[in-house]
Amino acid sequence: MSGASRSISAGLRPERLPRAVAALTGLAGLLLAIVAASLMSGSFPLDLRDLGRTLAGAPPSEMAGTVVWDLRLPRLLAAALVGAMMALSGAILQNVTLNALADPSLVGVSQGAGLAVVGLIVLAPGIDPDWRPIAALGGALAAAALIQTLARPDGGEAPMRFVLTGIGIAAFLSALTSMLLTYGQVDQALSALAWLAGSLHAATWAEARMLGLALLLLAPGLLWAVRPMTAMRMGPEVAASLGLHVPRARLGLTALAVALAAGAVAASGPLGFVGLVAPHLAQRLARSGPGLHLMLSGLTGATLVAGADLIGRSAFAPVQIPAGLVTALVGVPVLVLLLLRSPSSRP
Amino acid sequence: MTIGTLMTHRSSSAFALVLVALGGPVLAQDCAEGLRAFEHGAGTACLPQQPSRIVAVRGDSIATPLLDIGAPVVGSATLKDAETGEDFIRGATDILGIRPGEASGILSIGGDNEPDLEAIAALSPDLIMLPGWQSDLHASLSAIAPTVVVPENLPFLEHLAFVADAAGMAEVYAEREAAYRERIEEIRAMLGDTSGITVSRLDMADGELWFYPNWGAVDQVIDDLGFARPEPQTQGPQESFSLELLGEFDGDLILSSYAPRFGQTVETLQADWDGFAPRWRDLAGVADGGHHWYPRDAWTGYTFHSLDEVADGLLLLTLGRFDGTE
Repeated sequence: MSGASRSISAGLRPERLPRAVAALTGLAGLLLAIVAASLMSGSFPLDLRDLGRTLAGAPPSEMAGTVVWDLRLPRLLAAALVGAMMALSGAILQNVTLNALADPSLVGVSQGAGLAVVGLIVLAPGIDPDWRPIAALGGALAAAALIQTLARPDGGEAPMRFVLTGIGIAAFLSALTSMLLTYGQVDQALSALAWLAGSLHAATWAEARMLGLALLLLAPGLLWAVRPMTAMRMGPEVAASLGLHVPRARLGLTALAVALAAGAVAASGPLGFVGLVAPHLAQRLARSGPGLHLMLSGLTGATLVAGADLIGRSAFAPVQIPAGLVTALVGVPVLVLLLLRSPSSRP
Repeated sequence: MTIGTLMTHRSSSAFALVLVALGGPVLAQDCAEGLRAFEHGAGTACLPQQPSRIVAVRGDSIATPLLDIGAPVVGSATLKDAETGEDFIRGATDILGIRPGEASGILSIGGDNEPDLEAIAALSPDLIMLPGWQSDLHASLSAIAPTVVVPENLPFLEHLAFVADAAGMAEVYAEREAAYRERIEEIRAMLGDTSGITVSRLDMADGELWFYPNWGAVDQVIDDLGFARPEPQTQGPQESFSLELLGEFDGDLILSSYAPRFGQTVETLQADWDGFAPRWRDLAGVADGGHHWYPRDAWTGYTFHSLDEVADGLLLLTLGRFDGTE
């Protein structure tokens, strides 16, 4: 292995390692605290002792077992996995496009999924809701493929064209979605809007399993992504001089980001701002190489969405606020605050 | 509910009887003793013969008709009054005067769009009913208690019958429906042939006409009394129309709704309409004094109380006013 390749693989200055490890440990601790709070909090009264008994398999009542095992746990797992996948997707896209504002909506994932699910709800109202994740996945992948195709008509490589094509197609898909919402009946529109708000209230073990499986299947891709992301950070010219096949790497990384976001959106609906905010928060917690940055972003996303879901379901209970709204309400001010506190730092 | 209950055609009923004969014992075996198999919008559920703790995930179309026939509702989706901040059940509070809270024994489970599943679990229900458009919650709610999905777009009385049957109150429903049918026959006898009288529903907002088909009690009674409808109101599920079609919403009798709940009064609505559609006053029905306002929640409610109120209202508005109704 050449010296250049070794530096690509490592991607982290040794002096930054302690801070990155501390950030990882802190985030993991925060996520664990949210997990504990989520398992203990809710409209169903359950104290710490009863929670322990329930987790140990001896619930104080059958309903307590149902609440913990069938409602709280799968919802919590789904929230954490959705957050992690959206954040990982955003981190990869920001690297590929060299654009700090890139997130999964840039590749049309959220809008494609939204159009497909709203179309299903409005045009085929009697269809089983189990089809929604499948429609969302199909719509997300189709939109992303369309943007990729249009952005690279001659097989060239132009991040700005990719960004602008993504914005244009996303706006077009959003307009079609709005048109369907106008056409649909009130109840259909309400159902569609609830899905578009990004919510985990209907999450069951089926969603949690699907998300876990998707992340597991994509894990090798994430390991592979570290090297090309390290090179791409330095710009396409330098990356090419380091021996990276830039077009191929860009395509592979984009496909990975699309797959991560599409899987997440299929389970929860589009959760705004997580893919944008989480990588930035991770970057400000600790500057690190792409490998650690991906881990930090994933943990930040998981913490953000799990926390948002906890707030959304318990702050004004029994009124429930979709996690997607909470992530936007909390995540964006936090990001702005961080940006204001470090004006000279580059994202 | 047996398969045949909702079928109206003879051939369908015969087919249903065969299915029940073949499948009935199988369905019965699928449920434990004391439970009954009930077909709903998301399959078959085993329900108690006489549920005693029902949670309704929708206020106006599920909790309200259940409360109207005296079903034991312990939890319902609620809305918040914008002015007072108090919870209310749309329909039940407006029509029946029932408010959620400790006093009524009906607790809020959150809003119509996203209920609090744990609040439902805390009520230990033995039956949960949710509207078809929220059937994505069926799996989660079924872990708490037997859950019935009310199919969407059922005709009004079939909707009431379905909800009552799930609650084990089919007999009460049948009595109330028979009384309503009797009242309709009395009114029809007084009014004579009504097929030549066009009754239109006219509502406008945000610069367009809006029309919900199959809109609760008011539409049921207009149809049961045999009135004619303007052509656009007999077509498909369209809910909004261009103001250019205003003339086609004319009728001998024109009914418009106002919702005090949202701060609307007849005066504020008239001022709104005069602003974006002043031609509404030129409609023949309006010019001839045939335009009337009705309280929306009361006349569109999913209750027999609403059916009776609309029937009496239409009798007063038409008797002696049109040829043949003297």
